[in-house]
Amino acid sequence: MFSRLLLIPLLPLLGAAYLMLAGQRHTRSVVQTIAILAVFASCVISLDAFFVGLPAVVHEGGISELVYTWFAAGSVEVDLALRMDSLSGLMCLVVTSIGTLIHFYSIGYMAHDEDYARFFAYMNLFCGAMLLLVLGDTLPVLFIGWEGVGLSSYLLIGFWYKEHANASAGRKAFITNRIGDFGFLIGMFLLFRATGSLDIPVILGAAQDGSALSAPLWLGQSVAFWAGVFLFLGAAGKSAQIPLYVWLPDAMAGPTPVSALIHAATMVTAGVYLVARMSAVYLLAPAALAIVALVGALTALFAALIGFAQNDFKRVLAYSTVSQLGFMFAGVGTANFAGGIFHLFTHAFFKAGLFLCAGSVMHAMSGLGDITKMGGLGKRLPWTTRVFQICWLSICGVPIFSGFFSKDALLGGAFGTEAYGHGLAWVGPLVGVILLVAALGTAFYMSRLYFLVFSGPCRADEQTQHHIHESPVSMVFPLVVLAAGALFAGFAGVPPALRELFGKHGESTLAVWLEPAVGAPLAVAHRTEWIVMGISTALALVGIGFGYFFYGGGYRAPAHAFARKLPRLVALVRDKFRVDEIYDAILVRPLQALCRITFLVVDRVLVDKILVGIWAFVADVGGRACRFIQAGDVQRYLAVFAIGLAALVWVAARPAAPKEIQVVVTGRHAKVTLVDDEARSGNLQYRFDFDGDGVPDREGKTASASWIYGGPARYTVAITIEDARWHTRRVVERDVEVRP
Amino acid sequence: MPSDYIAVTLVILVGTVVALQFWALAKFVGERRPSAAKDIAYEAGSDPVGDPRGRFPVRFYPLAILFVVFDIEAAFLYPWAVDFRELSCAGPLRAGICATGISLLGFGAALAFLVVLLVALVYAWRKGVIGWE
Amino acid sequence: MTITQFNIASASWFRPELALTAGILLLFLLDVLVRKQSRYRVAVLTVAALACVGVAAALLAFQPVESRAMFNGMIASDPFATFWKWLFLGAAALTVLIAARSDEFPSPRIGVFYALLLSVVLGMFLMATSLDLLMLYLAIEMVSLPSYAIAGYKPGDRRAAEASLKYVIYGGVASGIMLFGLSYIYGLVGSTNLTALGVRLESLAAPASAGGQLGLRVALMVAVIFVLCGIGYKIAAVPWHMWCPDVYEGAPTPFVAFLSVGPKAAGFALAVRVFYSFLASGGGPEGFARGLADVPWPAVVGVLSAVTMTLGNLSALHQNNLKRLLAYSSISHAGYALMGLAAASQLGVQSVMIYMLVYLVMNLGAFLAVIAIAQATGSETIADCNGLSRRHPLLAVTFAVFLFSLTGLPPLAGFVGKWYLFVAVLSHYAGDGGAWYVTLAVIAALNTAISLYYYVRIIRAMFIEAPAGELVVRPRVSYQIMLGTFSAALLLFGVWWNPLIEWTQASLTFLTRG
Repeated sequence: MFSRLLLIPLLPLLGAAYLMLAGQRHTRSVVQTIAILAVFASCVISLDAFFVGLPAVVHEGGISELVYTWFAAGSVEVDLALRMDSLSGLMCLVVTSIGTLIHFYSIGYMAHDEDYARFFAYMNLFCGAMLLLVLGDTLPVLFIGWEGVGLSSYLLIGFWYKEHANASAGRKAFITNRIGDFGFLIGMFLLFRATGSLDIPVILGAAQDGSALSAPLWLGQSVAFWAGVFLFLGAAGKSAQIPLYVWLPDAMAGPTPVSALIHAATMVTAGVYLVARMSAVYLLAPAALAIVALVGALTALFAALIGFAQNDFKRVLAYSTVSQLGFMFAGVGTANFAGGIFHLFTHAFFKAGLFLCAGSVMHAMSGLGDITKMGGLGKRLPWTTRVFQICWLSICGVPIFSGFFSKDALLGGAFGTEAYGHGLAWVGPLVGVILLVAALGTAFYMSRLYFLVFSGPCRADEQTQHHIHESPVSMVFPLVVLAAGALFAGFAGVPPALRELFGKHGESTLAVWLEPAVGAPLAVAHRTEWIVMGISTALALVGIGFGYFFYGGGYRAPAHAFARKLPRLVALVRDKFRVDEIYDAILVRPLQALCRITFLVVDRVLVDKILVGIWAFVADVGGRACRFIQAGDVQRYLAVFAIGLAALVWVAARPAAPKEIQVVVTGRHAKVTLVDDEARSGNLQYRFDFDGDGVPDREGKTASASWIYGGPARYTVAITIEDARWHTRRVVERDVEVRP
Repeated sequence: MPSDYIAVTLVILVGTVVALQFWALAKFVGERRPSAAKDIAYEAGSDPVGDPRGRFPVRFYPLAILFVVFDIEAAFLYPWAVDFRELSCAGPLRAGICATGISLLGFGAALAFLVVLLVALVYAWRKGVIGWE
Repeated sequence: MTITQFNIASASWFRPELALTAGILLLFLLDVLVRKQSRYRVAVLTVAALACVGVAAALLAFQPVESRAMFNGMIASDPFATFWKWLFLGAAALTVLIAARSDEFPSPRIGVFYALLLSVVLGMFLMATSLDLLMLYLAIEMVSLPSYAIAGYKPGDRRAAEASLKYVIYGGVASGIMLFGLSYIYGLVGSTNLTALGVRLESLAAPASAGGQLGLRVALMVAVIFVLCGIGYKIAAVPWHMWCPDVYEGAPTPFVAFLSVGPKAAGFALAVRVFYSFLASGGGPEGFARGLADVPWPAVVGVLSAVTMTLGNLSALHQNNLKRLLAYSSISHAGYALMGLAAASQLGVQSVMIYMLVYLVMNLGAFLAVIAIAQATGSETIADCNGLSRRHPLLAVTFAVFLFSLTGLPPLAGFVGKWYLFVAVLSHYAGDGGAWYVTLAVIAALNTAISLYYYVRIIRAMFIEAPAGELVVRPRVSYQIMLGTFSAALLLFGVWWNPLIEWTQASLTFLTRG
């Protein structure tokens, strides 16, 4: 019953419950202490569980703890079981450590907010749900965490709910995620139907060639394919992939620490985690993997393009997140699960760092996020600038920064993958090329962001300029830690080709750790590796160069010239390719119209008029009848008593209706057979009246009789079933048609 | 077995004969001096004229119920008394003599029974059912 | 295999009942011996009643686990009975706690109530354990007679007197008819012992070539339905439910709370005991329906179940008095629980046990909330709940939890109870009479929806309507604690119901025919 792993999600959840119930009564310092301690304690426990039990975690399939059997219904048994293996352990460490840092950061960021306790309660709720998601060893537990993070995300996006836009952004996120969850549930049911279990290890164990999972289901594709596709639909909702990415940029309406923790570092990576967790299922269905990879790659490119023309600091970062998540999906989609998780790991650091820098900048700029009004902040915000530089170079993929290693792992994997077999062999290189273009785009828009914000003269008004100041220590400290992560996290996954330079052989530490959970890392030829590294470094530098050319030290002439030449293209990109408008036209409006019609037809007419009317009538009559018999005098009570008793005897004594009446007509000859279990008991007497004259034509204990009709017509056969023991009877009728 | 019913038949016969005999003796031997007072339905002293649904004080009923309850429960003691010898013997009786040790079963059972009755009596008493004020 | 114990040797299996008997006597004595006007009278009597329940519980905990037929086969002791005994003791203890702080029991008269209440509990113990037709009849009367007395408990209250009288007449007729049915059975079979009945019935039900007497079956079936009628009256199933609203309205509310869960549960225990031992074929519960193969047993109970839940719910729709509303709601819950009996399987019996356990908590809770509201407002209509969420949030929220649980919404324990009933019924869908079972389940689902309507009426009054005046609602501390505990329990077992399953599973062993 007692489980150490359970403490990891339980502590933040308890913190959330306490803060929600009693948080209002405490001072801010008490609130923040409780919230941070809850997350920090689970961080310590995770560290302890992961590193102290390292051999078990990594090599023996992980530590698994059964907290209790949640419920058992027939053959289905659902356990609240948690497992820490290398994959979930790594996720746990990321969530708890970055979670702790961002909680710490929030002290400064949220210092002036009224709903201090509510904020920390939701943050704790998020951490608890995320940890449950990661540690869950059965799909239902994982799903509870999945829904829990969705809920807390919704609550936090609409945290400043008094503004309409924020509330509707929360709603948008929630609805989009619901579409994905629907896919998740269907995928879960498909897996359950095929394997008879909801335990992840059992499902993964069952994922073998020739098993029920590889049996064809629909359109010639296997169960694994459809389960994979539907699970990916869920993942695409949570991780903001095409076509469900639209909620994430709007989600920036929430407080910046929320954007950093939930909408950059952790929650949105849950989809990637899900695909990696179910890797064995996906490996059975290369076509599903190809879909994942292509959608990921296209999202990476598409979001990067949108990032070119966005003018809101957090929005740029949001599209960047969508794009980077696309990279991760392209990674896991090319069966390069370790690579995808590696990028998830490094991205958590540099993207959280970037977001916290955004928060720090906006804090300094009196809450403004418009980068056209910034510039020259490099000197005013020294710490923030240094951190931003590290994270920027990291995401661009400049060598020795962490993003370089992880992006390289993804690109190398895309070109080197052999997961698809012959029919789909073109997918890997195609994905690789798209990713290279996306990497170039990434370097460009991130450089644009950097130069517009930190270099050149300041474009803000006097009053705002006057207020610019470096953030307090509680905000700078997490920044520095994250920068360190962005700088060094990459060394956990140095590719074999580079390791050889330093005289080391074999795979990197991270790949070795992850191997038992997600399979051996892709073996990429060293030549491919070197070429990819070279190209990606070159592209990063080119992107940064272009960025400087257009925006170095503020808007430069080429930027203006470009906008003058192609105003429509710029507007189109700035309007995010008008995807929201397209969705609005083809989905939202028709749906709303449908809703309105449904409302009018179903609610107004069907429900209000017909259903409610009939219902009221029935209830009224029933009520009158009840009042009549329940009038209060005992005579009537006893009359009901006696009538009820008689009715029951009648129900019990009447022969049951036959299950089926079979009629076979051949020419003028008709044969009627009653299918009935009781017919064999010999207690029933049957009388058949074939011609409808009221006189039985055939009689006997057999439940079948024949008759020859005089001519073609429709006849009604009446069959009387009589119980010989207590003379109760039942009459059934059946039409017979005799054709000429 | 028909022989089982001989005793029953005898009891019925004797009962009928005795009843008839008293009726006949009164009818044919008894002296008759009719008077108005003797012709009313009950000779118990109360006047039977009036509403038959007249009210009685409710005190009659608890008292009557108590009487019936204690009466019947006292009747229970008769079968117990008949079996007392057997119940008080730890082993089987041989020719009416207990060769083995003494058992308190019979005594204890009756004692428990009487304790229950006693509690009921105390309760009724304290509730004022027995008094008549 | 049934091991039969004789009289004195049975005593060690009979200790909880003996303790209850002693406790009842003690309470009667204390009632007349403790001073009438003493401030501590209520406290002394309450402690004595609780102590009596506690001693019985302690003895029950150390009950020998072996199954025994005691007192020459009159009374059973088995895990099944022990389960119900725990349930009854729990209900009794909670009722004592509720009654102690209620306004409806003036201090001079509370001792009688406790004594009578424990007598009812003793009767329920016997109901759940009786193995003989006569014992069974006596047990039902042992439950009924003190209940009649308590129903008319409020001195000088016309409604109470009326309720009591109706209860007596109705109960008299019902038990009379049951006795009539029992006499038929005795006449047909020549024994009153349940364990012997099954064996004899089987030979009766055999085909004529094997010496069976088919002509007797009609009499047997009428007899079974007559027995069912006596049980139906105890669990307040339609058409034997008519006493229920009047008695609930007239009787003291804490006792009504008890009446709505205790005797109902005892009725179900008895029904399972009788119909399993009696109709079981081959000694196992799965043979429930087979014994009298030609009696469409699931149809009879199924119809009863469907009619009961529908009529109960329809009648509840327009009630404004909370106690009458809960009376009809308790009728409909009897209908739901009958689904488990109609399923005629081991799972069906288990689902009834789970449901009764959950129902005990949620219904006692709902009545407790009504008591608390009535203490503040002086009456018990839905309008009295108006704006309760602002006057006393704890009371409003816990009441809402009880009502939602009664509806059967997740994640509350009421959902778990209903879920298992549905599973029990629907597990037959592919077998014989599958359409019957599916129809029953559909009717039950519709009824759940209907019941939501009137439960939500109360919730709406509490959370949306404006309070009528500046009335202070401050339930007693002990009530607040109980309200909180009950709702916490419903929540807990709504998400973690495995203990319920395990306990009922372990309690499914019981004596069948020898």
